Amino acid sequence: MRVRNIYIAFRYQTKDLFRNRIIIILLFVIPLVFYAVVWLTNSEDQIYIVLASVQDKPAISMVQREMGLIFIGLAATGFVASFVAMSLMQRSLSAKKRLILCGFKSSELIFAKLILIAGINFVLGIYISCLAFILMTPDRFTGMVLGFSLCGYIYGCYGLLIGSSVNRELGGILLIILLANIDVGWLQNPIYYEKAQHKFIIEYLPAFSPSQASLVSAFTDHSYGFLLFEGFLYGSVFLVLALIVFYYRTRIRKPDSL
Amino acid sequence: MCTFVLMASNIYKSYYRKKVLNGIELELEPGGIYGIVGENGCGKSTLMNILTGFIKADKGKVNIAGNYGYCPQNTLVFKNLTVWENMRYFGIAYGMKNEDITRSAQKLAARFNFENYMNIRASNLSSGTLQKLNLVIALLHAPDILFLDEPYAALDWETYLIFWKFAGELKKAGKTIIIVSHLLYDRDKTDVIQEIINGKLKEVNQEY
Repeated sequence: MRVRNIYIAFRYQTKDLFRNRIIIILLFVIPLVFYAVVWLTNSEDQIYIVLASVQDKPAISMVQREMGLIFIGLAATGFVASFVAMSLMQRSLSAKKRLILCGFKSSELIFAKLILIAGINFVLGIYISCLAFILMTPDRFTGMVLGFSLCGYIYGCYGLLIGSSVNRELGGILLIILLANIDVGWLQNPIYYEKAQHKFIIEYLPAFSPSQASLVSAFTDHSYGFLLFEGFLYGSVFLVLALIVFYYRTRIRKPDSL
Repeated sequence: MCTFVLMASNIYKSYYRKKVLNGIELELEPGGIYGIVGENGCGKSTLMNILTGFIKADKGKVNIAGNYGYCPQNTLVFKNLTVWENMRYFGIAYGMKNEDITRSAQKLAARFNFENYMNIRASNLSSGTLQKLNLVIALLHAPDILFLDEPYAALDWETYLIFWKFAGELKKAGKTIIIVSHLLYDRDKTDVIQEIINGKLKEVNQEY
């Protein structure tokens, strides 16, 4: 891999992505809207929840609004990260194949993409956590940031997989909404989880680990390290699959020399 | 000693059950302009994609001497990047130095009359200017062999004439050009024309 090529690929993929205004709106406006809606519709009532990852402990007391802010922050991170990643992968796929034909290595383009996605997820996690911090005071802010960033990582990798597999933007958006809506937008809500049947289904969904990590760090003093590790592995499976599909879709068969 | 710049043998390609290329044999000598014609859907672009490596043949072998440039039928450029950024991106892919990219880009942009558009995003270009960019990307690194798939679709008449003048200069310099078109008006400008008929190549008599 050549450093110059990775640098240029990073720079131009960043420009290619962010010159699409919808991406800026997604990144900065959607979380604000989500938080505003939750802030206005939730109350300051105390609720008592048994979190999935600390079920052996008594119910944890939390303010309904604060729980809602964490939950919606995760949803916002998941949705935004997956859309941005899908867009990054789908955008100009044929032009990228032509670039590889001209001499770029597939690994250089992929590495540049990964640096870009990692940067976006990190900034997104911090931004959304800071917004939450303005509205509430979590027990452990760092854990909350890590939980949000992890959700961004998992759903970002899912978005990369969808973007590399599906040609049409609309089809990709549908597949993202289908999973993200059910998972991080609904089933991971601890109020829903507490009374749910067949809980193992919820525990195997992508956003389980980051949701638990954020909630545990915001409202308890229990450890969340294993949850972060689990979630990282989960996202990495999506990532490996995405890279394999991207490689196969952009590979070329250069003629032999005479 | 091999005198050919391109040798393609026994090329087969099917899409689902439809045979498109059925045993293509092609040998090209240096310093010529070769035309490939055929009716719509006969496999011209498929053949071009296989010769350049863009897609894989089901069977067969392609050998090329030297480096090559490919102008595909569709404009495969980065729509959110400017003309200059596109040229730089592809120039780096070719392994060119920054100063060589700048020199080549400026020279080609001036030659094809679109130097005023260097800072315009590709998505904001007219179809003709976009096609010029698509073509110029294939020429940036001064390749020995040029594969051009319908390169003058959407070009204005003046640019069309510039293109053929440029092609003549490349031929004199010993470069090889393969042009694919479903219409080839300028038969006297090509040295050999071959037509794809039933998946095979057949030389066409250039005299009417």
